[in-house]
Formats: sequence, C-alpha cells, structure tokens
Amino acid sequence: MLLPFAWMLSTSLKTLSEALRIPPIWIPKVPHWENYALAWNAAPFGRYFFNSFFIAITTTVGEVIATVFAAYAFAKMNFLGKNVLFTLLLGTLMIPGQMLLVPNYVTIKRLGWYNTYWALIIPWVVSVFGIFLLRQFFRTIPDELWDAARIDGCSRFRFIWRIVVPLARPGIATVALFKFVGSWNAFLWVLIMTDKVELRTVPVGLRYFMSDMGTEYPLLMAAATMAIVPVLILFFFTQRQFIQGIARTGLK
Amino acid sequence: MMRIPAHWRSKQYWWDTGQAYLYLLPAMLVLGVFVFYPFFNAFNLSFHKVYLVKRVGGQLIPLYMEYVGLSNFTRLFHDSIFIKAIKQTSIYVGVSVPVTIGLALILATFLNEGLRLRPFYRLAYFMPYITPVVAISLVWQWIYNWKFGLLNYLLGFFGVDLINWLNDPRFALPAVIIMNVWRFVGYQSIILLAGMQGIDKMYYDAAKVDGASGIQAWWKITVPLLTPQLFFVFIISLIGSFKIFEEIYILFGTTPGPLNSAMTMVYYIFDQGFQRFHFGRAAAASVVLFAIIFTLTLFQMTVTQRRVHYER
Amino acid sequence: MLKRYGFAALVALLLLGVLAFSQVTIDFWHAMSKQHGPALEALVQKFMDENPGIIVNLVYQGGYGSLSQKLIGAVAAGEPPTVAQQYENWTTQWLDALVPLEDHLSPDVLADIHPRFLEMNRFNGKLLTVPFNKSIIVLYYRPDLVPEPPTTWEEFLDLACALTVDKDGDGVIDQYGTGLRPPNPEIFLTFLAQNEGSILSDDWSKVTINDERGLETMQFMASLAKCALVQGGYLSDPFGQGLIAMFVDTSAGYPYNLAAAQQGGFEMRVAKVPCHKNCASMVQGTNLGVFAMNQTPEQIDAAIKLIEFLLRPENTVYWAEQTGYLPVTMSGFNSEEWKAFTEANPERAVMTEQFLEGGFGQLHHPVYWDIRSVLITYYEQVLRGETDPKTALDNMAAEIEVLISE
Repeated sequence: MLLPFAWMLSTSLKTLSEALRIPPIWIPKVPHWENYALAWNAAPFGRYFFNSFFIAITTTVGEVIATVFAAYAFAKMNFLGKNVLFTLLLGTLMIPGQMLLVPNYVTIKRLGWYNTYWALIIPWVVSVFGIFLLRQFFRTIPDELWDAARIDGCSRFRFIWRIVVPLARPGIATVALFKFVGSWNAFLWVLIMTDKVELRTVPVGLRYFMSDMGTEYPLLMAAATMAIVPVLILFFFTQRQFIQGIARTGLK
Repeated sequence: MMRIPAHWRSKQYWWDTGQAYLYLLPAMLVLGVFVFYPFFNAFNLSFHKVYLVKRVGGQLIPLYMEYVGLSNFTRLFHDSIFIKAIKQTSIYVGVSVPVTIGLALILATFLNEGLRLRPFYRLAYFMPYITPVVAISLVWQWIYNWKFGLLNYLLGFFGVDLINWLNDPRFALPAVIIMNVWRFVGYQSIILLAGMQGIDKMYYDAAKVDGASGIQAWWKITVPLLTPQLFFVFIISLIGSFKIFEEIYILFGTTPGPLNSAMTMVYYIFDQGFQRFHFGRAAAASVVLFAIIFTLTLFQMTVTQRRVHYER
Repeated sequence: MLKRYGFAALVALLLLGVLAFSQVTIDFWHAMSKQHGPALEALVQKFMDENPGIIVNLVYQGGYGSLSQKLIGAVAAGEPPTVAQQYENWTTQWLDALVPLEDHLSPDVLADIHPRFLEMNRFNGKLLTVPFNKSIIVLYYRPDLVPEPPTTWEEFLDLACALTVDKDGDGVIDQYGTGLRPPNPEIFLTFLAQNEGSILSDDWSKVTINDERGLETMQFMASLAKCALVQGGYLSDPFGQGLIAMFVDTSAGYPYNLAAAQQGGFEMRVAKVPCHKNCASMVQGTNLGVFAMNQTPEQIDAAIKLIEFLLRPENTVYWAEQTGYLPVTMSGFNSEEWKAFTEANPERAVMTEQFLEGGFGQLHHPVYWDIRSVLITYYEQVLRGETDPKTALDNMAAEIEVLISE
C-alpha cells in the first residue's frame, strides 16, 4: 500500500547513479538530504507553496462563510422557491466539471480574471457537497433554540454566527478540510486559467518541474515528496474529521 | 379562485424569503456564473465554430462565434480519435470500477476481522487518495520506468520480461488502471468498513445459531446490508472514472499515451479545447460526455434503487 | 557665456524630452532557449543600439508548445505582442490580426528574401510573415558504416536493409539501417513531395493523399520500416548508442546528433535526402509576424524596422552561423562570408544546397494541424506494421475529407 511512497522517499535521497542501479538499492549509503534543497532551488517552489497556501486558505474561508449561510437558509428557513432552488442544487451534481472548462475559460477571459488569483479562488468558493453536509447538521439543531434567541431580541445573523456555527463545528471543520485539500490538489483548473510562473500552485509547478528536470529522478522524487507533505501533515492531525466526513456522505 | 398557500399570508414568510435570498446570494451567484451559465453555454458553444480572431467590418473581434449547426457533432463521430477515446474510457471504467470495489470489499472484510484501525493504518489507506494526483503520477511514472522501474524489477522475480509500460500501446491503459486501483482501493475500503461495522451484530448471532458458515454469513448478511455503501462507492467510482485526465497527462508526459492508447474522453476535450483551441468541438465532446454520464446515473439510480437495502 | 551654455542645455533638455516622448516599446515573444537565445539577444541589442528610440522587450515564452498557447490566449484576449515567432499553422488561426507586410517592408528587403520562403509566408496571396529560424530535412549517416550515402529511394532501401543486422546471432537485431519516428510525419511528407504527391489538390477541394503517388510513397515507408528502428523519441539517442546507421531528420537536430555521435565514438556526416522524382525536402522552423491588433502605428513602425534589421544579409548570416538555421536572404546565401563558412563546415553546404534545390513548406490550410494529427495516427500504424499502406491511406483520406469540408 505504502510501497510507492516509500520508494519515492528512498529515491529522493539517492544520487542519480544510485537511483539508476539494478537491482535497486532501498536505502542509500548516505542519505542525500541536499536533494531537497537542490530541488527547491531549481524552481520557484517558495512561490508555488505560497500560492497554494494562499489560495487554499482564502478559498476555504470564503467557502465556509458562503456555505454556512446557504445551508442555514435551506435547513431552517421557509422561503419562496426553496424546493426549486434545492433541486437545482442537486442537479449540479450531475454536471461533469470538464463540460464547464471551455465555457468557463471564455468567461474568465472576458472578466479579465485570466492570470489572476480571482480566477483561482472565486469559482471554488461554493461546494454543493458542503451545502448538503451542513444542511444535515443544521437540521439537527432544535428550532426552540432560535425561538428562544429571537425572543431575546437576537437577529438571525447573530444567531447563526454566535450559536449555530459553534454547534456545528465538526461539520464545518469537515467542510473546510475537504475544501482545503481539494484546493491544494487542484490541477487542471489552475493549468488552464493561468500561464504565468508567478501564479503556479504546487501541482502545476510540479508538472513544469517534471518537464524541466527530465530524468533527474532523485530531484523529481524530492519535489513530489515536498508536494505531498503539507496534505499529509494536515491529514494526520485531522483524521477523525476526514473519516467522519467521508463516512457521513456514504451513509444516506 | 386559486387557493393561496397559508404561509404566503404571513409577513414573516416574506421577510424570511428576503433574508434567505440574501444568505443564498454569494453561493448562488458563484454557482450561477460558474456552473449554470457555463452548462448552458457549453450547449451553445457546441453549435458554433469559434474563431480566435476575425475581422468583421473594420474591427478585429477576438473569440468570434459562427453558427454551424450539428456539424461539430457529426465531425466528432467521424474522428477516429474520438471513437477511440470513447472506447478506451469504457474499457477503463469497465475494468477499474469492479476491480477496485471488489478489492476494497475484500480488504474491508479482512480489516473487519479484528485489525484495529490505528491512525497509522488510516493514514496508509488514505494517503493515495488525498495526495495531489500530479505527485502520485510522477512517482508512478518512475515506478513504471522500463529499465530502472520498481515494478519491472519486482515482476522480474516472477519471470516476467521487461514491460515498457509507458511506451507500449498495449500496456498504457493497464498502467493507468493499476495506478488508480491502488489510489482508490484504500479510500473505498474505509467506507465499506464503516458500513460493515454499522451492521448489527444480532444478524450474525442469529446466523451462527442457524449454523451458517462464515462465508455464507458474509454473502447473505454482510454484502446485502452493505448495499448502501456499495452503491455509493459504485456511483462515485463510476462517475469519477469517466473523468480521468490528470493521471494520463502526467504519466505520459502530456501525450495521451503511445498511439493514443490512453486517450480518454476528458483528454479529448482538453486537447481539442486547450491545445488546439477548437472550442466548439471541445464543447460538443463535453456534451456527449455529459449525456453518457447522465444516462448512466439515471439508469443506475432507477435499477439499483430496488436492490439497495436500507435498514429502516 | 552662461547664456550660451544655458541655451544649449535647454535645447538638449528639449531634445531629450522629445526623444523620451518618441520612445516606443514593443514586445517580441520567442521560444529560443539556451543555445539560440544569446544570438537573438545579441542581434536585438545591436538593433536597439542603432535605434535609441526603440525598446524591444524580448520575452522568452518557453518551448514552441508554450509559446503557441500563450499567443493563442493573448490573441483571444485581444492583447497579442507586437512581434512573435510563429509556425504557419498557428498563423492561419489569426490571419486577420497580422499586418500585411508587403505594405510596409521596403521593396529591397522584400526582393532579397528567397522566393521559396516568400511563397511559404504568403497566406491567401498576402505576405503576413517573414522567415526567421528555418531548418531543412537532410540525411545523417556514419561514414564508417555507409561509405557512400544513398542518393535514390532504391539505394536507401537496399542499404538500410543490408545494414540491419543481428550481429551476435541472438535473434535480436543489434543494428538498424535507419530510424523512423511516427510523431515526425514531415519525413513522409518530404518523400511524398519527392514523388510529386500531395495531401490536397492545388485548390484544396479534393483529398489526394491516397492516390497512386501517395500509395507508392507509403509503400516505400512501409518497406523502409522493416529495416528501421521505430520509436517516438528523438533518434539522436539510439544513433549515439550505435543502433542506427543513418537517418533522415531536420537540420535543426544537427548539434544534438553530432554530440551523440561523439559520445558513441564515431564520425557523422550530412548528405542530401535520397531523391526520387525530385529532390524536395521539407522546411521547418518558425517565421516572424507583426500583430496589428492592439498596437499603435508607432509600434508597428518600430516592429517593421526590427524585421528589416533582422533581414539584413549580414544579420541573417550571423544568425545562421550562430544557430545552425539557414540564412533567409539571397544576398545572405550568396555572401562571401556564408560561402567561406560553408566551405569550413561542409554540412552547412549540404543544408544550403538541399534547401535551394527543393525546400518547401507546410500546407497553409486552416485545419492543417488537425490533418497532421490524422496523418500521424495512420503513419504510425503503417510504421509499426499494424495496417497496410492502402487501408491506412484510405482511412486517412476519409478523415481529412471530413476535416476540410467546412
């Protein structure tokens, strides 16, 4: 299961000639940690990582805000067209994202967002799964809570912010987590909507690194490792949220 | 006279409507611009030819669109590469979905037999799923290397000759399948395991009383009661596998495999749209993709709805 | 005295002001990397020194793939650079956006461009680009294995097969007479032109690739493939490893092939491509075009000046010497310097001769790039022995038929 990752790490610590040895060596005589420094300096990885973090964090924050309010509206409020809108939401799950690439490319160009952070953040600020998930969560919050708050003169907005959100923290954490990872791993969208080196995220930067480095396998593996580490660390500390989130979507 | 719904009379309702729309505004706006509008636009585009720039009158107009009716579609089905893309996508789906689910089921069964899911194991099963596809494909590209790759070395122990995974048209698609089965089996097995652990023990006790063997119990109790999770995993696996692109783009160095042997529908859309800039034709291909996925999902939902056993 | 200096200073300031005002900046996008980049930079710097009012912003956009994507994106946004390298099949995508150069270039410069190149840069009768870094297809061979390079198709085939041997008798061929690359149909097109065949009829109304002449050519390729190493990657590697005795390839690959030969420890020479009914050879490499879209008249003028500068005979020779591409002007070809250079470097003489005798360019059809894809698909099938030439050509023709039926 973990074999490929172990191999990746192993190769990243070898010299090129050690990597090209048959039969393969598993543990190099001397671990060449400097490969990581070499890889880091061979391409603007600092910039790539900054971009990935910046985009992932802003997208997640934006998403949490937009999703919390939308989910609350669907969960707790009665309004004109509620069912219609909800069905529309369901409908979007049927649409393959690839179908939207070309039209969105044209839209982004016309908006003047090509090669800007806007293109990489705004379209991803909404996750229909997130709305569904939070809606489930919110439904479990008893209506009496709102009634009591309302009597006390609390505005709905404040209610959502001060009471509902803390109660739904696990759900929100899950939503935020998935969004962060999804944003970090995003490739095709970034590839298409930008072509400036300064805007590359880690996955896209990795792809260009691959074509620049050709057959420098140890450096390539070092770069791959660096790309994976942040997500790994995040997962390690938030496993429960992840599993719960996935399990929740699995059980109707 | 039409009966007006009671709640329409309450002022609260209308006040709520206004507020709800306000709350929904950001989400709906984004969805509207980046999901609904492009969805319809894709259909529109598929009936047009898009010129990068055209001189109309005295003006230079970029992205000029010209109506061409169904010709994009007819052209698609005359393109041997598009047909190949459909065929190969189908093969990929037809093989990887059952294989992944099957393996995941077996894996989950073993895990259920007693291994406690410690954090380290969970990490192991999830890593392939949550890590960036680019990084994974990069590592596998190295593993698939003809002369120095790990896979060929390991296969050598079984007496298998060197296989040129990435340059031999016969092995390109299998290479993608193997990598993705590895990628998803852990994640799917966790879902199935969660489902298994939610099955009430009393069923098993009853079966034991009746003298049922382990395998019988598995087949008659576990699997049927697991159908919600199996169904879920099946659907997302099916739809997801129709959309593969990134893995191929990276594994084969931005070509769709030797002799187009790893050309899939999404790769075709990407290639037509973003490497050749035939926007109209790419849109037409994506409409075809949508039609296939839509039909399949509908079909699955109606047919399997009957076979899914929910506990309540 | 102060008054005089004061006056001079004022005039100087005014002049400076006027100059600053009349300073024009143009963007030049290119794909010339490590080896060719410095030569281009040197030329552009010289131009800027001669024209202090013009600033040329030389931007390296990556390889050809990257450059084409960036250009397409820029044109789609209505903001292309002033000057850019471009292949003919890219140019056909934005014909309307380019400046018709005949209206701007001086007649002397125009008359000096080699007529073959002029032909290749005309689109619908208008000259929209000028040749820049052009290469030609030639034959590379090892004199130790091939004492006399073949000059006809028959000789080439016979020699290739004679040189395809299993040296140690283990059932695996250790040396191939030649090598062929499916992603490089320009070789096939060269032979097709030598057989007087073509992809389309002259008026582009009919597909002619599967006629007799096309069939003969494809059959030749099929026979050749039996004695050839067929692979997707560049042939310099196997050549250097001693796996190939000779092969047909672009002159732009000369430095790489030479390096491979040196590593392999043998000599390499260049000869003309074996001929058939004529000695045609396909020209590759990019041209330069000036965009009218989103440019001020001053920028266009500056770009024209740059083009005229680059087309000066001595500059075309300098460029050719530094990079390995061909000079594109007649005076350049006929200059003493080039003659001396080709004497010292015989392979350049061969390349020059090959071009002058039979250089031809890409088909200017707007869907040529798609046609080329179809070509590659079926060409590969023939080379790998999966389909017979006639079936492949007929299938190819059917698809091309659909492509051109706009």
